[in-house]
Amino acid sequence: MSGLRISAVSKSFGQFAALRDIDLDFDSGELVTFLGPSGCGKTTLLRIVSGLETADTGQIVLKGEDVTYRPTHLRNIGMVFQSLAMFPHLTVAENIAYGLRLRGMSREKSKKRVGDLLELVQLPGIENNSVSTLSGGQKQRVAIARALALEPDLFLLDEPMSALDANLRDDMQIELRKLQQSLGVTTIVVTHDQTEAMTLSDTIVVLGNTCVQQVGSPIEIYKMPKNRFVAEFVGAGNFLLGVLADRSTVTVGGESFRIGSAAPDVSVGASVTVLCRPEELVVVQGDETVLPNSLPAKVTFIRDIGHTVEILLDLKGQELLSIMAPRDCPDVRVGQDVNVRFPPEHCRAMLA
Amino acid sequence: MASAIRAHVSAVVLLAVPTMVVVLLSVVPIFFVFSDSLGGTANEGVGLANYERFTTSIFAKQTWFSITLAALVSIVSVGLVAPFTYLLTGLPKTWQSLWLIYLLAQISLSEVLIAFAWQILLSNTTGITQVFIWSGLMTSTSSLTPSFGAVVVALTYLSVPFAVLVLYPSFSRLDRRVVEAARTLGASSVRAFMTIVLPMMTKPIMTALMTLFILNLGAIIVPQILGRPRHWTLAVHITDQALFQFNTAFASALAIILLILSAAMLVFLRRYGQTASR
Repeated sequence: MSGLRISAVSKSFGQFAALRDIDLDFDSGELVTFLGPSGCGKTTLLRIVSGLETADTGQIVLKGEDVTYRPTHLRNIGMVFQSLAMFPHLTVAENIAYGLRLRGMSREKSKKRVGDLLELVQLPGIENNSVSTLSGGQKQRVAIARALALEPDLFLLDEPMSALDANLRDDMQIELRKLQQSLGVTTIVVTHDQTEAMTLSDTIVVLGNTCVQQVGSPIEIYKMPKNRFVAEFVGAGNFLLGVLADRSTVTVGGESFRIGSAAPDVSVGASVTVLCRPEELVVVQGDETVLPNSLPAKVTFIRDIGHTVEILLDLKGQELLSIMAPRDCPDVRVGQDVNVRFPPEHCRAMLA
Repeated sequence: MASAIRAHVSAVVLLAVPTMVVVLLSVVPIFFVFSDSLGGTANEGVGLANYERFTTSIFAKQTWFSITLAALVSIVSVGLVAPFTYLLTGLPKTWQSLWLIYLLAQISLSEVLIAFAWQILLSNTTGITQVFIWSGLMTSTSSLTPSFGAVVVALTYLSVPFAVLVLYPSFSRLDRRVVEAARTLGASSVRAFMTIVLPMMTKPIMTALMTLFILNLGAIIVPQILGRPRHWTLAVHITDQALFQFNTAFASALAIILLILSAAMLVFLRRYGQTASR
């Protein structure tokens, strides 16, 4: 069943186009992230879904019901804001119970529900604390509990982890994902952090330049990016420019390069970019026989951080990065001439 | 060590100037007013006779009237201005500036001018009266002034710009996301304003009430022009005693009472405002 459908949504602020013709459809119970650089319109799209912003054109369908023009307070959504937006004059319990009391739930019942929710976010017994005394992580959990209190049809989170420090963020990501799966609530998370998107999502929507760039599972997005924007935004990459000779060959600087896949919108004869992720790029000692799909390069920097070795290389003025496991890493030194091999199965061609 | 002493000395010198100004322009005159209030009209000698006269006369009643009038006007003004300022701070910056300029311009108008303008607007031949008749709210022409209502309306008109000035900074710093959070939790705009914005703004609202109360406690021109003698505030009676009854001693006593009342109200509202916003 469709949990949320966004069709042909566009939005401008004055002369500035924020979103153009967005079409998306998500299953019920799915966790979706809107991933993109700042200013790509991801928060605007979330706010349109929540009803805090109205689309210029298009339609929002929530659980089969058209809610495009329905005001926020009648949409049955739960939302966690980037600033968390706690009610500073209310206690933790009053914050969480705010929506419940508005719907006329009795004091006793809502007290029980608040207790359950605090249990759920692993903060039992802090009902009477003032929200200003909470730590960043605690506030985060209380904000989540408050948003989930009304058992929303749609759970929205706008950059929810941005205020947390790195360690806490990692833990919260896993915890949020588990919580979402146990509740089975359709969820949208807005983020600019690709690791966060990869950790949390069933589906990632990559947004850029006011448009949807790609929709797919985290691994699909990472391994089979549709274009260079997606490839560059999600993870690091090494890029070679060339021309697509056929679906499995690219001509790079006059030489034939074997590739594993090409984006569907690329046609033979088109200028393409070939992507090879750093962890797939293999550095081979220079004196060995030249292998197919290899290019000569010079080692410029080696960063050995124990569990991986990162080798920076210079390929005719272009910088390449190879990340290798210590046991696979050849014994190379800075300044040494080597060969870099682009394994064909890990090379993907896409529009430049 | 030497520099610490020098810093201390210069701080004392710096503070000395404003202290002198306050003493010369405020404390000394108040002292003269107070000593004046202890004297009598007909060589009665020094004593509290004027204060005794106050407690047994119509002036006690008029003082109570001044307090209720000031309280009513400040509550009505803040009641109008709080939602207005909330909406104003949600507008684009240019519109906000235009509104603020317009409101500041109101302050620059003379109080006398405003009082006479309202007298004309509320008279039986022009403006509001005619609108009321046209809309069926009134059946025959009759002047709406002088009356208690006219005094309240004009004082409210004078108070509104000040209330906006007091409330504007706090309202413009209000995190709108908090209101949006309430909206996502099922609160309508009005509900969110009542349950979230107002409680968060308790302190500035208290400050606005306090400011307007003190301001209106000293109201003098509007009650004279738009009210009957029974709508005269204490400030009007002070003028009357000093300028027309030639009883400066009694006028001084009334002035001291007004001063004490204002100070007492400040202390009370400060205390209450602090506990309410906690």
